Amino acid sequence: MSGDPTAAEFETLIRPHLDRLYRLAYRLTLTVADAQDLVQDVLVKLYPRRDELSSIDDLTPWLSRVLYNQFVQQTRRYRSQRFRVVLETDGDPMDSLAGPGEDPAEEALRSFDISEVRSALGRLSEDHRTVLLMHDAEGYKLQEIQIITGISVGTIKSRLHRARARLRELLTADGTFSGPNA
Amino acid sequence: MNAEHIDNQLDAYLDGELPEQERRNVFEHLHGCRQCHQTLADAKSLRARLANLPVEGPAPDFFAQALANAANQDRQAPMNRWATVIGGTIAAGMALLVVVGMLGRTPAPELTPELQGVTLALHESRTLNLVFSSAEALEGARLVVELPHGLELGAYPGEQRVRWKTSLQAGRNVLPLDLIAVAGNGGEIVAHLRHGDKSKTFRLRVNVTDATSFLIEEKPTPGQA
Ligand SMILES: [Zn+2]
Repeated sequence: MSGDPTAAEFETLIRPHLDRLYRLAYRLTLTVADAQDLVQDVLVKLYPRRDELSSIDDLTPWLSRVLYNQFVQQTRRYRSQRFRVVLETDGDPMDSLAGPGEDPAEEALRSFDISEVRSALGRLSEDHRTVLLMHDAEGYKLQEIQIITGISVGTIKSRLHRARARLRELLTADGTFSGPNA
Repeated sequence: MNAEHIDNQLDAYLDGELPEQERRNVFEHLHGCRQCHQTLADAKSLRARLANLPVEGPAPDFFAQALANAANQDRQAPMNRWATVIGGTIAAGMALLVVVGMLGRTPAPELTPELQGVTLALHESRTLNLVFSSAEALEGARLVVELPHGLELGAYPGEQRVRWKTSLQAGRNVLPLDLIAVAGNGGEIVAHLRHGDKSKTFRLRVNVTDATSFLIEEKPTPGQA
């Protein structure tokens, strides 16, 4: 607890990075529960390595790599869930999603769109989805992804390319993406 | 317009990775070619959608709790998951909130008769959030979830009946169920929530087809202990 100086020191080191770590965990696992599990497991692993932590200059990429490796090594542990589905029952969700001729709430349309994108993402291979979300959703640079994942920049580029193409294909098939022929 | 379309260079173009001369060529081609222009617009739109894909935040006390757990080297058991999610805010529009009912003094909220557009294909797993709205905090509540043949919870493979002992906060309590279709074509998930002498039963219809819908109805069972 907070009375423990060692725990307090650990917290001081780690706390500034937790948001970013959690975001990466969420991108990798796609759900809050799994992301929390992943972050928790990483913290448990890191705690005994406090001395090592305090000797590292730039913790951000280092921590991201630890988290990524934990995910890759024990993917099955964090893949119990694929994605969440969108619906809010405060008010009538059917009203806001359907309603032709109405002026549907923009918020509702956006959540619908998001659910389609997430659903399509859930159908990408993990290799593709991971680099795609890190790059296009989280804004990691190619070199950063290389450092975190150990995958070469060339491979990352080609995965990104194929992931985007596949995602477009999936969204077009779902009718949610206006391709050139739409 | 040009014989050579530039689809293959669009990613590098948007990433700013093209050498100057190639970038210029792509730029010029885009101005003359309707088809590639459309492809570019789609690529941009896809990126925008990915960039806007929200991250659902963790439970409010998660970081503090996770740090404390690490210090105690005390990995949370899966059973405590619910506890960590309870009280967590769900980003608007990002979670399936199935308000299955209310246990307590105030009347149950109106239930959504049918949730459309959810698909659970065979061998696919999904998180279904059950949201229990309680008028008051309930210590030592019991929840039993019964699953039809072919549906399983990710953390409890092969079990048709899963029990939790838990505490509910006043307000919303979210229980994420990792639902996996392993066989069959669905059925009814029955959840019994008990606290003291109060009890409620909730039923969810889950169809495992290529277009799944969750039907929810509430069956209060007064007098059942
Ligand atoms: Zn062209």
